[in-house]
Amino acid sequence: MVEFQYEFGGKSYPVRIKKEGEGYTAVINEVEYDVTSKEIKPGFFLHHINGQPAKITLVTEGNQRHIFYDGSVYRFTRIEGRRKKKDDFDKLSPKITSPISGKVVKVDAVPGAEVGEGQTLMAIEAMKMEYQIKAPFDGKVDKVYFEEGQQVDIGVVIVELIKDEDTSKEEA
Amino acid sequence: MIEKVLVANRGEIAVRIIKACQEMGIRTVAIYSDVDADSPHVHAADESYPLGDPTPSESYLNIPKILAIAKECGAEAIHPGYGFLSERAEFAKACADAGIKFIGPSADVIDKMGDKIQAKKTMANAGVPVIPGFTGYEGSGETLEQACQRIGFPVLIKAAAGGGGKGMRIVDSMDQLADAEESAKREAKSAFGNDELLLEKYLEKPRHIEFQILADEKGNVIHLFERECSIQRRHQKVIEETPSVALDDDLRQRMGDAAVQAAKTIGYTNAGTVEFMLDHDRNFYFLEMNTRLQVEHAITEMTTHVDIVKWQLRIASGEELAISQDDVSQNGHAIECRIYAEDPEQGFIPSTGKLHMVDVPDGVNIRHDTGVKQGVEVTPYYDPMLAKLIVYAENRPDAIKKMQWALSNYITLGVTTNVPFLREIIEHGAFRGGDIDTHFIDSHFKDWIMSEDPPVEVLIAAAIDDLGRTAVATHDGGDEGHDDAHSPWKTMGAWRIDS
Repeated sequence: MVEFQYEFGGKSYPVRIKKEGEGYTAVINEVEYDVTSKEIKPGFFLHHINGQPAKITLVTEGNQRHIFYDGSVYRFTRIEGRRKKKDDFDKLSPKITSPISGKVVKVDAVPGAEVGEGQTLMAIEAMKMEYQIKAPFDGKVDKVYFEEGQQVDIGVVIVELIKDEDTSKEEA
Repeated sequence: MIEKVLVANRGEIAVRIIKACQEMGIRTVAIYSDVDADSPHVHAADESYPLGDPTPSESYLNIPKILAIAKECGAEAIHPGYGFLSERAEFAKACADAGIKFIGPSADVIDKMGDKIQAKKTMANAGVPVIPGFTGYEGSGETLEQACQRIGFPVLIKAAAGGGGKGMRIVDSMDQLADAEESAKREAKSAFGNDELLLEKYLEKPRHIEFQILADEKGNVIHLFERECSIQRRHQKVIEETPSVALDDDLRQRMGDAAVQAAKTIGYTNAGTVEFMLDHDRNFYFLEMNTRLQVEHAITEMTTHVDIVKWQLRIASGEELAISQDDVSQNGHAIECRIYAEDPEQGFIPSTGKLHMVDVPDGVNIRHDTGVKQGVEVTPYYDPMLAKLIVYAENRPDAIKKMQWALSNYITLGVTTNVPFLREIIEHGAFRGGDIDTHFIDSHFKDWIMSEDPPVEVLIAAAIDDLGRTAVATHDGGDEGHDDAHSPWKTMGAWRIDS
């Protein structure tokens, strides 16, 4: 059996699979499935899982998997090799990244300034709409990487914060 | 009849207009920016010319460039579509000055209706009801603060020059006013080049009902009934339908008469839309007039069997309206869903990327107006609307079922779209019951996330595909994944893509 791991919404999903005659045997969470697969046209498959039909449309893009099944789109990542457990508090990273590609129209964050959770750090405009980038926690502005008028790409770090060392609260 | 039309737009609406022209034997010219060189509208047209730099101001908003192309290729008329230059009086005037027919109303009318303050004054004087509000800094000497006190919170601030939700802010209390004003001004300035704002009473649970108008250049004006566009996010329409369940024959007639009156008052010509807000007590108020073709015109075409774009072309050619008000009737029910490249789980942030797979449903009374195709890149330069899915059926319940089927079979992979979100709206009990208003999405879908974990079918599909591409099946022995204590299957719940 070969094992593949998929990461979806911060969780990892292992699937073990092997070729079995014309079909496959797959194991997910210790449950075994008998599967047959037929490609109808490129990217479109008809699978039978324990005899039940499932229409699948699938596209791969590097490690990204885009799958359409039963009216929904699932987008996840294949994890190759061993990988560290994902930090649940990743979203509280002090490195604030741009959720969008667009133009910086306003910069409120000033290095050294204290900011409260929810306070606007920057405003980015894309497709004629303005998006406010807010501090995810209380802290201090460490670095500001963009100024007004600059173009920013999705995923790029725009501001770095220093988290408040809050000793009065227990660790989340 | 006009013989050659330049379509000064892109995406689905450019394709729609090009097709209408071609059916009428009119030659078509497309224009495109660098990032749109391979777009469907370019291939659909008889001729196409590059605009270069994709920045809107350098491409689809560049009046000298567009007029130069029109002259060079010998286009007699320009169809502006919606958005971009469609509601710029200066463009209509520049066309007229260049001897090119602008397919729409006159520059003067666009100007009158484009300034929301002036528009409301004009309509109030013509006896069309308007929402109580603050219509200008000049004259009265009243400030925004004083106006808020007079009208009472909540109030809605919006760009005097705008539409499409840009520069709009709801303000619940005086301490929010300064921030909202500053931010709205900046957005208005950026979108319209004019930061003047107006303010009005924010109606609770209002419906957005609009009437389609057709007016020829001989003074004949008819309406093609209403469209209900109450399902909105960030003040932009998402789902539209006609007829509206909120209107009965009497109210429909009164609103239709008011819409025709509004158009006649200003000497309107060509296709246009009079937008109203309908409050809980079935009072209607003039909101604004859109002096152009609307995104959602197709649902009216489905229920009235009138081709609005063809009439735009005929009217612009000087033809008289051959249909009277009595000739037009509403039949059946039509619904439109706007397919946006955006992520509903993350505040509807536009998404970009390559459309790796596009496979859309086809069937009886299903219309798909699209400006994209498989393989094209969705860029951050323009509006995130990719396509419109329109269905028609004999009645509302059947139209809802048809839309539900169509959305369930609507495949786009590679770019996140709002399709799953649209489906949840269509399936929502309140929507089915017709209990909708412009706050519907905020009331029922705030912080919406897709509640599904990947089903076994999906994981197996990925694994079969990966097995196929793994030449040598070697296993690195990664055990951590099926350690029971950490099994994701024990912690299933609502998930969301990392923010």
